[in-house]
Amino acid sequence: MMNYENLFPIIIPAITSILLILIGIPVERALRGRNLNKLYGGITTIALIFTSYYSIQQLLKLNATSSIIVEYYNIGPPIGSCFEIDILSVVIGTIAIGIGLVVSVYSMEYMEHDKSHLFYYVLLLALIAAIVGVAYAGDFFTLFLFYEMMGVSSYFLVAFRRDNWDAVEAAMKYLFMGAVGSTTVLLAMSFLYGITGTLNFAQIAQFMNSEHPNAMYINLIIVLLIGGFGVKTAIVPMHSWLIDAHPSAPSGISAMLSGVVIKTGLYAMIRLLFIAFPIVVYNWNWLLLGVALVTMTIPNIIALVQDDIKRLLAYSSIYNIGLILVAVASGTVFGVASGIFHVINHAIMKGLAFICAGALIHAVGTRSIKELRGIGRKMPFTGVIFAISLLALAGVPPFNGFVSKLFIVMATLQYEEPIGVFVALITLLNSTIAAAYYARLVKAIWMEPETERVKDAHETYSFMSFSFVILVTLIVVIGVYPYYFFEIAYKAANALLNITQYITAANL
Amino acid sequence: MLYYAPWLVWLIPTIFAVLAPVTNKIHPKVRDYFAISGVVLAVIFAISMVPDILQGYVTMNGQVLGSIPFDWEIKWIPLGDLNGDAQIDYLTVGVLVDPLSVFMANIVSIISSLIMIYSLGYMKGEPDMRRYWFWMDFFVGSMLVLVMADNFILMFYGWEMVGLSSWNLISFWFKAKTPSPVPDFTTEGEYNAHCGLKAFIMTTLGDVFLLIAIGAIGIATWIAMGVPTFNFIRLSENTGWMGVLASYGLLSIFSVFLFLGPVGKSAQFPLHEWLPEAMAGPTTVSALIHAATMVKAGVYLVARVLPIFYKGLDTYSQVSTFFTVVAWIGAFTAFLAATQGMVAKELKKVLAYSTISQIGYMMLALGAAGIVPSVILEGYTAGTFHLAVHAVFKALLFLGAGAVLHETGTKYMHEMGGLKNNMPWTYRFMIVGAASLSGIPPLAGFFSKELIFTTLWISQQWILFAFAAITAIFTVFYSFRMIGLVFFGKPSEYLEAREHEGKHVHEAPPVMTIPVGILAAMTLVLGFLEPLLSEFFSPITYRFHQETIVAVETLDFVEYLVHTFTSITTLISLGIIAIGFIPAYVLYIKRSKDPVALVSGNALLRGFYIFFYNRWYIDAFYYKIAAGIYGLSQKLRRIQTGVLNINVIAMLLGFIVFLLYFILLNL
Repeated sequence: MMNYENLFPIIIPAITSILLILIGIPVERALRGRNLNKLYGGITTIALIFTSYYSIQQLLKLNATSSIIVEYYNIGPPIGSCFEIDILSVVIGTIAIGIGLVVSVYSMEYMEHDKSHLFYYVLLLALIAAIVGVAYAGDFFTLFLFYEMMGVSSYFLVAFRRDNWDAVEAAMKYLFMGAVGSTTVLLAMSFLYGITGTLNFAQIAQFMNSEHPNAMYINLIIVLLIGGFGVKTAIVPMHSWLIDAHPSAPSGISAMLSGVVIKTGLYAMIRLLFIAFPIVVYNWNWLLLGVALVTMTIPNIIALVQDDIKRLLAYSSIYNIGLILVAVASGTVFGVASGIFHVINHAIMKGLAFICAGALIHAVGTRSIKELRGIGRKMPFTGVIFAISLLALAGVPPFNGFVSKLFIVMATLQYEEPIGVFVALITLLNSTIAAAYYARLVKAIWMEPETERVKDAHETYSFMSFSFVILVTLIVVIGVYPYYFFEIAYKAANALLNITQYITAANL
Repeated sequence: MLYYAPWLVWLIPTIFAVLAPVTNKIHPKVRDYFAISGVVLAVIFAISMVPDILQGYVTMNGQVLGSIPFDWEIKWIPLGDLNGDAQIDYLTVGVLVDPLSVFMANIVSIISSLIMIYSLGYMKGEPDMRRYWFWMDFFVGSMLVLVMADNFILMFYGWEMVGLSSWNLISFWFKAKTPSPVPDFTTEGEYNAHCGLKAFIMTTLGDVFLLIAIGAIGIATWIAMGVPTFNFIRLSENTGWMGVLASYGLLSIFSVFLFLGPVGKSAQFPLHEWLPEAMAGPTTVSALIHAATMVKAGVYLVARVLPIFYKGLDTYSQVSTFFTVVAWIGAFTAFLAATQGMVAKELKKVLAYSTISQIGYMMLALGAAGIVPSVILEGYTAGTFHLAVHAVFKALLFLGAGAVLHETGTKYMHEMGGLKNNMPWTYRFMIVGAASLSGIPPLAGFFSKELIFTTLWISQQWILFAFAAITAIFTVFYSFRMIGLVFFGKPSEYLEAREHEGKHVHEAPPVMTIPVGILAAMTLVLGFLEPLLSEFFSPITYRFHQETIVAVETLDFVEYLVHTFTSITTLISLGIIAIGFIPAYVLYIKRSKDPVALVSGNALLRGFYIFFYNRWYIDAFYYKIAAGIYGLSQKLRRIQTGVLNINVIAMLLGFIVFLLYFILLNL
């Protein structure tokens, strides 16, 4: 089917990014030295608005039992590659485009004083196109292509402030670890190809669900997949890059990283695991549960003593990945739905937290919480919204974090008892520790005497404020009336777990 | 009731709170009166719901909407089969008009309004009033939604929001530059901010257990009824969900988890250590939040779930654990806090410990009601009645204490003394309050305490009765110790110094004394309203009794008085009052013996003194745990070495561990 219009969410950002480069370089040369940040930002924003139109159209059109197949030149699998777009893919894609849109609006003000604006927006668009590509991929070739594209864009974006040693070092570490992860995934897929004879996900699913090959090889593949995709997902033994990458990246990119890139890694992992390896045969969900529990606990404890505001938020992101995994690993529809719901919510909350933190850092010039004390009173608009995002993360009603936390608790209780109670207890004790450091941060921003550096800070209302308002409205709306958003997450969960429909849609 | 009363009663204060920055820009007086009017409007709406309860059905705009209990729901989240055309069920949220919610709404709004009016005088001249009114109004709105909610989710929203408001109000004076009373901090402002955070975190620990219990109820109802529900009415109608939990052996433990939320919010053992620190906030905050309303939220929740668990008691006996735990924690907390109140040096700390102790009494009554099912009616009525009575006299005591603090400029009782001539009205009102607290007839405190003693006596729960009785002795003692230290004796050197500087101590302005007077009048009268209360609660309580009929609800007024004053528990109460009052009188009012010399002379008394003064070393223990976790965190952060080789080796180790999982699985 050559219905390429379904691929517009990938094509539009990609083409815009190419056009920006082609047109931008001569323009830069002509207008030497002019600050074109707002121009590029504006172009990016407009492109993303168009993209989101198509993406939301797909979101409304699809439901849990339909997916769209798009193939190159009508050549089907196993030779040609294809995209299989079901509602879960569209959810991930929409999150990427949405957060990307907010970040590009935000960057129109935030990146004013940086250099190389052209490359920033080009890379941002490429990143978004790649993420949507990963989400839409229907076979491994496509997935890997876009996965690497996503990786490369994010490596360069992390290193964007190349005059800072910490940015370049963080990017190098991220690059190496990402490369190890990707290679591991490649290895796993080569094994899987060897067993099934195809790279297409639907065909792999069909094969693996009808014939259950020898567990020993499959277990190795599962380990390699979890570990390989786990690098980008930032699960615990593979998370170290995230801690260094977040503080040194520009705040908009931290928001993208935390909110979207790691969720894409998670998406790739769970998509492959759920469709190719039936849980009843291979029992990998207990492994995922163990990973999830460790991923929740360790970063939480370390976050208690952090002084760098973005590093604290980075540890918090890893904790939230643990939360999502603990819900997803239950394997029930409700569990996966609450996990996907938390993906949506966390992207919004953490994205907002990072961009607010960026605004605060931008005003004062330091990331140290000790130095940022009392800044909320100097910059009340940003301060209030930052406090709202932190309270939402802590799971305080009436914000969206509470709803997803409640559902995750319910999902953990669906494990076999008494394991369920144990898991629920660990989840909620971690939640208390998380509440402690979020509350400490709110206290530092609002309830402490101002430091010297903060005395000159003042609020500037600009594009940054606009991006805050979009996200905070979503936080409150989803918190008070989660109806439509949870419905989407529920449909996406159904789509993920409904393997027969995934196979039949590919018309095999 | 008035138009949309159950919704507006909580929406109006919340909206008025959000508008505080707007009115602040207009004029300070507009801001102040606007904020107070929000709560006054809430009072009007709350009172308008009372006739509906008394008549048994809800009328609005002349139309009958339904009978009591009236559940006004709106659809919130769809659940169930979302793909096809199968039945979609909804999680609903809404408000409940029933005796308990209307009772609580009235108590909260009336006492809040009196305290807000008092704040006009107490907080005069404060620079940050916009923030103050925002949080006070927001708090009242949140507390009202907590009590009006018809399901756990909306109630939990109110629960968290009162916690948030409490945190911000305790830390209100975080800018204070005076030296900190505690060596760990430099300024008093830092200490205040710490106290607020301590309250928030300690109550959050209780709240997470409540959240697990709520989640469990969601799952259990999903399994039992095919659709999850958190609605109180539906949970009590169909108790199959308890069976689901019981079949996994989890009913007892989840009911205890549910109680841990109230343990945190109502400052019961072991999560009681935040309340003494919460006294760092303005006294109006202490009166409102930490005496009259927020700490009652836990008691309200226990009272709310009590009928549900009571109904399940016949079929699922494991739920009796709930009642036992509630009663014993209540009893122990009452005792624990009373001992600490006897030796406290700060005026507000005495009242804080007293609050913890009295809430222990409420929990004790509610728990005892279920341990011996025949006293369910007395216990329920005792617990809720004491809630109301305590709210009134504790608010009275705190506001009076606020006046004293305001006038003398110190919070330590040994720096006061002899104030009964300087502040005559405050003195008189506080004596009424202290007498009510001690349970001296014919004040309200006597009636509510009597009811608690009666419940325990007729159900023959002797050990709990002993706890209650001994605690009552301590209560009388510390109440009159407080009165004696503050109002009797000679003025302290500190006060003499202030006189010389020209800062004469005089009575507080009328805007502060009148609300206190109103509360004193209420405490004189409230006790006699107890039979009315039983009738008020009858829609809930009629469901308790199929077999036994209890005398209280069928007595008329005179019979009730005669019955109360001629039972054996009354004699015991009078004895308790005497035993507690005489030492306090001798040591602190008449001052014929010196308590300091008495304690330091006797080794046993000295030992007790040190033990009680150090809060039974529980607080120190908690700080040790916190320091331990902090140390663990510092050690654990080292795994983030930043060295790439180590990161990749960690990855490799991860792979090996994952492989190990599968190897072990397949063995």
